Amino acid sequence: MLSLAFGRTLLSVAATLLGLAALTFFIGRLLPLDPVIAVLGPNTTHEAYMAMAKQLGLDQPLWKQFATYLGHLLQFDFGSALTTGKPVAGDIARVFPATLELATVAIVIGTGLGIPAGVFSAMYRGSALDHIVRFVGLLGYSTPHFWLGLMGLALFYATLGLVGGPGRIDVMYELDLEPRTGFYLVDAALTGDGALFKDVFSHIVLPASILGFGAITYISRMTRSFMIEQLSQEYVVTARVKGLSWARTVWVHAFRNVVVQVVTVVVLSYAFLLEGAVLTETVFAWPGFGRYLTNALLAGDMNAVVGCTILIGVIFVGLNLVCDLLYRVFDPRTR
Amino acid sequence: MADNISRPVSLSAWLSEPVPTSSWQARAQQLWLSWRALRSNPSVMFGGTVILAVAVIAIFAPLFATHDIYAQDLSIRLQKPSIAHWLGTDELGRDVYSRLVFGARITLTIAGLTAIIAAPLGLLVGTTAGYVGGWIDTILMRIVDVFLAFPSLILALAFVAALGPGIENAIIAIALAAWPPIARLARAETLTIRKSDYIAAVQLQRASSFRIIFGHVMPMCISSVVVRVTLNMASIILTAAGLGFLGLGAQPPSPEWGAMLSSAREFVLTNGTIAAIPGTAILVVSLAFNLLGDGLRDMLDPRHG
Amino acid sequence: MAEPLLQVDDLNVSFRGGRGVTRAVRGISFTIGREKVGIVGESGSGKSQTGRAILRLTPKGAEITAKALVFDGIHLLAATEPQMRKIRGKRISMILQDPKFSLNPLMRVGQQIVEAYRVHTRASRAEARDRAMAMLEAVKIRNPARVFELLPHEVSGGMGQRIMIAMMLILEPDLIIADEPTSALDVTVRRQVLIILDELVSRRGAGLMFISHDVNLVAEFCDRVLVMYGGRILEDIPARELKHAQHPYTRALLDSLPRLDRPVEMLAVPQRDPAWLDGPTIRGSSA
Repeated sequence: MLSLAFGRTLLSVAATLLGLAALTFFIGRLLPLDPVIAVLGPNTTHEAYMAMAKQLGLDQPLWKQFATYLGHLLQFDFGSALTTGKPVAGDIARVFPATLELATVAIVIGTGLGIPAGVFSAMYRGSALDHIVRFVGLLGYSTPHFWLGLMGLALFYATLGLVGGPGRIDVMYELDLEPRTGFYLVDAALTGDGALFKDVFSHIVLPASILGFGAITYISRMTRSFMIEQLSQEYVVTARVKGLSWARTVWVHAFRNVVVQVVTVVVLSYAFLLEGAVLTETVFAWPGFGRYLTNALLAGDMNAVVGCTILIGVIFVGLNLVCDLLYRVFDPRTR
Repeated sequence: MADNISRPVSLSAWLSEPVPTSSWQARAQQLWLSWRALRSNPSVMFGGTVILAVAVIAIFAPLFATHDIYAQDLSIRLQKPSIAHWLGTDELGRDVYSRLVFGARITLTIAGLTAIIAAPLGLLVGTTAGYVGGWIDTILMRIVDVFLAFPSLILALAFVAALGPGIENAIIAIALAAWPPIARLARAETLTIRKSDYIAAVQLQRASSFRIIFGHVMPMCISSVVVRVTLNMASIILTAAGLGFLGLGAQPPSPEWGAMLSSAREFVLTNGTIAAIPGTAILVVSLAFNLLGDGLRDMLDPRHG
Repeated sequence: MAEPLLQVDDLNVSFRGGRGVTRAVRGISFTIGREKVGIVGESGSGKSQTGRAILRLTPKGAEITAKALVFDGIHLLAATEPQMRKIRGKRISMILQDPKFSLNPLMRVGQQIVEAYRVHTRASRAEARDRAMAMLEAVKIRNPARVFELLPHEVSGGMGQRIMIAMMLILEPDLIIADEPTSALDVTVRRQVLIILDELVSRRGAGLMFISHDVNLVAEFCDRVLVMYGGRILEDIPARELKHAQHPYTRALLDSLPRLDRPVEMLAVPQRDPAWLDGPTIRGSSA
């Protein structure tokens, strides 16, 4: 029973991924620039134009071009970046750990603060705490996070000097760090150099907090909503009738019924953090995936843009699949 | 009977009469009741008032602005707020306040045009998929899923990269990223409505599918679509600001708020005000839309919140 | 008659809503001893809120006032929350209506019974498990070891309600409030569940407050009947004297019941008299 439904989901996911490839192929072809001219320049002979067109595969029917494109994708060949001339796949592998580190720290902040905020907000619904949490959440949904990052830099870096500036690490320490895992916090901890770790930490704390703030607002709002739904159920009354305290009722009974939903929300937050990272990395000059994408956009490097877009799409779809799996495994009612 | 001669009644009495005597009175009473419901909801009132104020400022921008927004004067660049320049000057000596006022136009234009493109498109695709069902539904929803597989900013970025920078392309790109959730919502609503008895009745009267979808199904979806669009408006504005910040939206010297933030970026470490102002404006407008949307949703669907 | 377990004097429960104050319970007074008292009324009569008010588990925004609300010498309205927690489950408990909703869907039913036991005792897990098993047997569940490990959605309605009874009676409370305990069950199952409840209540000598909309059921099962309407008790009468009820509302309720021995062309529908909302109430003879 489980495998049949899951098999159908996998098929659906495969179809979506195919559609993803088609969409990015379409976007790539939308480029008003003639791809041949982009390579050869405007003054070419007719023969050279035709030769290059043939080389780029543009004389093939569209569906055949798509098939070739698909074939490349499955081999993780995204083509070469216009700016670096190196394979896009390699570039992405190089910059991704920086974003992953940022996103992970942000998620930890988001979960650690967001879940309790959501639960307490629901427990004491209508109280001052609830209103504060909701208002902060509302502000979070309405604030441009990249602007918050700018303001944060102006306040905490330029004015107060409490955190490090843009970038992952100070120029002073750059040579001291051996990038073994790509996660600077881990690498710095491994060297045992206190000052180095402090510097790396001071650089990541502000951007991670900004991203984390976005995660907090999303996670707390969803958690609150799930908890309110549970707290209106009859089994909560039963627990109280048995003599349980309100706190115990909320955490042992109601929260347990919400855990799967909350975990899926956290997993989805990862996906949203990727989106947030694009702009935040630009503000903080963070050498990650987001900044790579932005630079590629501004340079009109379609191979890189398409490669990044596909990767994000695949990650998104993958995360959704994970959420679906979690539901199937942990919620006995869906079986 | 003498009582049947119509006597002039006060407007409020006419509106609160328990049994309306004409369909026109019934409609007027409905409108008045809706207005009363709106008025009692503080979120809606606050959000709605702010948006209205911004709209007025945007429409009558030339009246509100104090200076020419393109006039550069490098001798007075990066000044703090003063009597002459209420919100100071930017890095080219232009008056920030006037640019902010005209920027409101751009922001509301982007928001409005995006909504006008995305909402009908989403509504059309969603209701058709939900009502007709079958393989049309599968294909349409597969397309929607593919679009939904991307965070909206990334998708908009990709489209703008392909189409080229500029405000028209930015609007198209954002609209293309904004319609799928609406389609999803409309489809979900249509699936519920499709089973109702009154739809069955109209089908028995051999109305065409076209007529049923447009005349009966769509009007029922409209209230949830309106709420969703209002709530998404904030995210649309933030996406537009993000595009502007990256230089992919309205091009200089246009006073789009995101672009203003981008040029302010170089100077933010020394002169915080210049970045604070356009950001605050974006915040206020987004907040207003979120409040409006939240309030509308509480009114129309009391299960939330 | 012995000292009553529960004394209620002028109980009021009101809700502050958007449209002013709603008074769900309007100044009711009654006593319950070690007997089975039924509270009969239609939806909105305030009977459920009465039960919740005794345990101080009314929904948020509810205000409870009374001249006296006394259980075994304890003034319930003056009690602190920790004191109330000691009373709930141990001295007064409540059986809810529908086990599909009143049991935690993600917790094994045996575990839920064990929890009820361990909240008030310092028993070990093994001890509590044994007690829970014994209760499952007491409610006539034939395979307690297997049922112990089941989840609520895996048991039938009747079994779920018996589990609820087991859970609420495991600590042998003195007063049991049953809020529509059989309304969600198939008609065929109702009698079985009631028999079990009756047995356990009598064995313990506990008091039972049986809330229901079913006049027939209450008349058969209970010793005394309180008829509620519009937040008030209109008539307080021993069950065996029900056919001699005097209040017009009670009579209307009885008359609207279909009877096999007196078939009628059309069932009578009670005509509501607005005078019932504030008019005189009838207290019948007790014992």
